[in-house]
Amino acid sequence: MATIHVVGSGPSGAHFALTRLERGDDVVMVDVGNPAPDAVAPARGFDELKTELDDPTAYFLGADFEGVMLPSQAPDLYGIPPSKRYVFEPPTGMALRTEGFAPLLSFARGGLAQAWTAGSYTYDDADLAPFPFEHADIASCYDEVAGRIGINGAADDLAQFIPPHENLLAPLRLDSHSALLLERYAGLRERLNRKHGFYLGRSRIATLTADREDRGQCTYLGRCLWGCPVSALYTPSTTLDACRRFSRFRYVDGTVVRSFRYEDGRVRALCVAPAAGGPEHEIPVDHLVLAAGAIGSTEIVLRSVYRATGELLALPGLMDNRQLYVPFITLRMLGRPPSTDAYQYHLLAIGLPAETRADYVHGQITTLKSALMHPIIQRLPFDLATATSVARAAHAALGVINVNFRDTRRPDNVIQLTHAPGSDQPLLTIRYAPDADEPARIAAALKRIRGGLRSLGCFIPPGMIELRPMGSSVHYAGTLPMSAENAPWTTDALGRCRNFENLLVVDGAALPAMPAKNPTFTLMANAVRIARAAF
Amino acid sequence: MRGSSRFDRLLLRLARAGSVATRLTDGYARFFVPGSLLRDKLVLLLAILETSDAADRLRLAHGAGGPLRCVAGAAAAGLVSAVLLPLAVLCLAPLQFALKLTERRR
Repeated sequence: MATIHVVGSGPSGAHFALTRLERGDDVVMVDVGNPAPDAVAPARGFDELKTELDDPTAYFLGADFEGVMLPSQAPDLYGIPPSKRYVFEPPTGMALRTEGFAPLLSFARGGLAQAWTAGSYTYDDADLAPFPFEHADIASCYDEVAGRIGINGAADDLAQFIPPHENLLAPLRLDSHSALLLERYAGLRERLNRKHGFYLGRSRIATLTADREDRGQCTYLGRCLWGCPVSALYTPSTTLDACRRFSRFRYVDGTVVRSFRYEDGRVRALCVAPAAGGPEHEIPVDHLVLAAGAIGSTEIVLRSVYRATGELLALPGLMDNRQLYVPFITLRMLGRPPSTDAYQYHLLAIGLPAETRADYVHGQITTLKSALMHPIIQRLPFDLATATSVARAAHAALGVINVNFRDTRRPDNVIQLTHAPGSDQPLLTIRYAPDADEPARIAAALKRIRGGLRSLGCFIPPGMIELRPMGSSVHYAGTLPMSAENAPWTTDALGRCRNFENLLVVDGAALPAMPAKNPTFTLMANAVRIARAAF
Repeated sequence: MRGSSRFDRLLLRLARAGSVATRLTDGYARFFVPGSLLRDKLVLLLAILETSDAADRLRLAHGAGGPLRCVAGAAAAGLVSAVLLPLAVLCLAPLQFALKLTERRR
């Protein structure tokens, strides 16, 4: 059996590793692997924490109030809570230059998906048209991953855009606001579909609604944003734990992979260093799998080529989903008390089909339940006392649609190494510019969303729609794309890099297109697909 | 917290004069100095209060009485705010302008 080295413990790496372990291989996972803090008061709900904890402010806001969104910092609607900051802690010496792109990078045990909101959607044949395989080739992999992680949802109006899969659990209980929206949609369905091309249904969510041996079902504690204390919401560290139960699995954490050494088209060794700083050393490899995230894996390839040849290679085709936040108020919910004993993240999703199927727009609807209100209150056009009173009346009526737009590979969007003045090491540089037709696509989608929301009895407060900067969706892809064409710096349909015979790329770097649907479920399924056929 | 301008420090002194003064200065800052030290300190206080049990009980008490009462309360607060804001602009805008001028001359 082969010894396989996997770089990264995110969704792609974890599921690839588990599949190969199940087939009898030895797997060594090399990872920075910042660990998560222990769960605090795991049986307590959002409101109960304020009475049960000795210092609830430290839990919610951080010991140094680092979780407070201050007006002078031009804050987002919600920030990264202190309990999730480990996801984004970089190793020593990490540096990056960017133009038109604001990436979030993770070195956590489990990767960026340790902080995801669990939206899990299958790609259909229209989404997979640019890929060198079809839905039929990955369908059973979606089934297998759904069985591993637990995905709940319903076969509803969105099923025509999001193919159902096996092992779909019963959906989560809706909060009163989400229930009202779904009920209204049911009564106006035909009109909304015909007039606005607006389809609404349940989100597909990687959260358990039935107990398992190792993870409990959601008990509606309302603490999702701070990290599910009962592990009902899936994170890849769960699959990493499953890998660690195999004696043939070795987890090498606290280690950053800087590059690999290669000879005669074959990877010979990983060049690694302690994440906290220290000298480099080599780990010999037979088979290497890159799963460090699109930006991480790309950097490893770029630095490997630079070490060997001095060339400052540029890899084009970087993609990310553009996101739009559309806040709304549902008039019938004004003045009602918010549901704090509810699943905190999105429970509903929207689909906006387009003439060109590839231009499908996807959105997730989060109604406001348990939440810290100060980021919202400070944005309202009143003094804080008035704003607090208004927010109290509007809390249960507030929602936001997080809208995703598709992206395509374009030659000017590159990740490359550039010379850095005063340093002997080149700097990772990312350049990105959006598609020229993006404003028109966004405007067209927004018109339909406005119409849909209006029909549902919701209105969008003026001036509150926010176009998110590129990089903020954290769905990075495209720099080592799967392709049927035999070209350098591409991978084949099974993730095999055409430049190195023993190198697989299984993360977002290998995706040749970025449809509007959240990609993480597809990343996991694709990793399983590749792992089944590897070596 | 970071450094402050003279107007920042003036807003803080005025805000301490009482609850009406706090609303006046805060309302002015919301529109004309949104990143001010006063706004930062008030939002920090708000964030601390909303994570504390005592403040939460107060919030729930004020929220009781049904949707109509809640919305009416918010509307009343909005009316007060609408009266205070022009007053704040009349009092504070000239001060802000004057302090800015003197800072430029230095």
